[in-house]
Amino acid sequence: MATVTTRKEKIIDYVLNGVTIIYFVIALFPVVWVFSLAFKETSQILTWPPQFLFKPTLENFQSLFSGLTGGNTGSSTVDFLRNFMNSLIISFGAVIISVLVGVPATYAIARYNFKGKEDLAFTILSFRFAPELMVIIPIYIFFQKLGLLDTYTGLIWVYQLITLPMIVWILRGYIEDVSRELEEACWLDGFGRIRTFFRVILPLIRPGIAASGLLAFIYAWNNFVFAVLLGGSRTAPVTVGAMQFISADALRYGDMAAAIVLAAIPALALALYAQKHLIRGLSLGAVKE
Amino acid sequence: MGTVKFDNVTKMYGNTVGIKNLSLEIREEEFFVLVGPSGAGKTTTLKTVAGILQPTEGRLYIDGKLSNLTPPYERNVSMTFETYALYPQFSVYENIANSFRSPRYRKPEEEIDKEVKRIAGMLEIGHLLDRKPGELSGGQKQRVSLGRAMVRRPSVFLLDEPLSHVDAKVRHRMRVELNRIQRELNTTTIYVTHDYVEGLSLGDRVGVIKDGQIEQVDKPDVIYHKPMNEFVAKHVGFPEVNLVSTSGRSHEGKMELIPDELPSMRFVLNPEQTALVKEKTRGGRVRVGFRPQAVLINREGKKAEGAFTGKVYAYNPFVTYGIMILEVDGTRIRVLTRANEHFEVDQEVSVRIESKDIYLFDESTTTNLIYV
Repeated sequence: MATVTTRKEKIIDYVLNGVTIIYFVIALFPVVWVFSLAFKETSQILTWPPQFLFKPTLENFQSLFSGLTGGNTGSSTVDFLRNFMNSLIISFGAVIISVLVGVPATYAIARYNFKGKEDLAFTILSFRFAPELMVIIPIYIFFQKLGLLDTYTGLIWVYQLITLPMIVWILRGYIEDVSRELEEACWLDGFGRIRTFFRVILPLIRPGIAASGLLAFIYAWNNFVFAVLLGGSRTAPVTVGAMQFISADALRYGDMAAAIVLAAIPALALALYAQKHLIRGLSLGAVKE
Repeated sequence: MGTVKFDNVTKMYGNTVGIKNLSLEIREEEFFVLVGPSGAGKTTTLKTVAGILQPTEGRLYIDGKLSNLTPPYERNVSMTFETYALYPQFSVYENIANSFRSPRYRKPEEEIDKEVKRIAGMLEIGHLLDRKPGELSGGQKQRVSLGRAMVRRPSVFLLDEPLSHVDAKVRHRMRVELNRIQRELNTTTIYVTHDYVEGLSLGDRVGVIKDGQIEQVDKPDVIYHKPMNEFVAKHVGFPEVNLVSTSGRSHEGKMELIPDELPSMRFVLNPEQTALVKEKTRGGRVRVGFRPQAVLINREGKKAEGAFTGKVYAYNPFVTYGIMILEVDGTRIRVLTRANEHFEVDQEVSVRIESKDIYLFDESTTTNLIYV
């Protein structure tokens, strides 16, 4: 069939495309700029007018991995690789524990009626919107007494404040969307409640677990306040590590940019991996609406 | 194997009544149909048998065993759901085979394969086994859900509105099929529907339920011809039964009932009915019910006994029958006519009703006088 396009429609089309392009330029510019900084020499970074065409160098990345940085502006050691590993351990640890704890907890909130259910659910949510700085002093004192400062356990524990609410509140909707009758049918097929959970609920909420896990991971990965105050040199993640590029004598933009580029990789990789689990519509179609 | 007994069972949802003081016995190999309007407690009754819901009060026996607290996975009952409730992540084959993968009904793989294919053949879904439920039509999903319930040999089948969401043609065929399958498997079946035609045509016995309480349990023809009360008479039958309040009086040695609002109409009672009215009512006040089918067009011209005339208010001819709304003394009654008849609006029509075709209900309790 031929599509009839009037002149007016064509103009609207051009305008919309134009606006979209402008938006992308504005939104992506900082990303592109940071990316380009990572491949520039220190001298090129600070020149005016800014250079868009330059000969890329891996100097910044080299210095990240060698631990020695700074070139001619005085050197200090930053063990970026260690920061990176710390970030991975803490973020993955926090998300894994949140999923293990959060999935059954969410199931209970979504399916059972018990006293104080909504209060409990709201309390979990409130972890998310209470400012971190508000609770950091009591937590710091606890951690000091328990010897948890600068430990992975301590950070993974406190990161539950970030990751658990995310998982619980996103998954709640997913579980509520699974028809109760699917479970009931499975009981009648001879499966107990726990087996039914693994057989019916878990496969159907997998996209939800992927989505909420990914989001929780990104928030955990980007957290700064808890890590800087409760972590230390042993456990500092990339967010804290990157701060060390701000030294008394210089702001090491190149190293920072390189660190940012590297730090973005895990989240991106995870997003790509999770994508295949984020299929909508898996649960559609089996139940009469 | 295969009996269910409700002994004064009540199920409350908070303060809302689900079913109330239900006492009912379903016999071995019986096809029992529960009919009632939506919200009457039909599904609640089924889910109580399934063990998904637990009775608030009373006792439930399955196969003679007190089962109030037996969890669903230990009851050996199977159920189809109004929503079908097929597992979307599994193929049709795995949906049907699901119960054989459970610890309770586990079977060796060759046997599973045999059973699944047998039931799929019976339901004519053999070619769909590799599909996912999302790729099936409503009627096919329906069959898969029946297959899942029937593949093993439970004590009781519970079928919740199995035909309500399929189109008319499939419904018709499936109704016949269901009857055949049930005879073939000889398994006690409780079948829930809001469609009285389905109920009357399938059931060995039919229970009519309203507001969580059973109104009448009996064979289909008794339900239709001797309804327990006005509700049963209204719920069963199409078009809906006509109901009028009447007073009795003697006339030429016979008793006549005269509707309050249709003074030109009269019901001449036979001797048994006369006795009933005399014994069981106060002052001959009776509610009379007569089905639209019972109103006969009077073609004899001269005044037959009990004949009266009305004006046609509306006439709706269908291919196999017609529905007429007849206005008598300003009150409208429904009349079912034969096919190929023609009536004009405002035409005068003489009709009569035979005394054997009327139901007599108590004015205050609405109970049929034959049951008082």
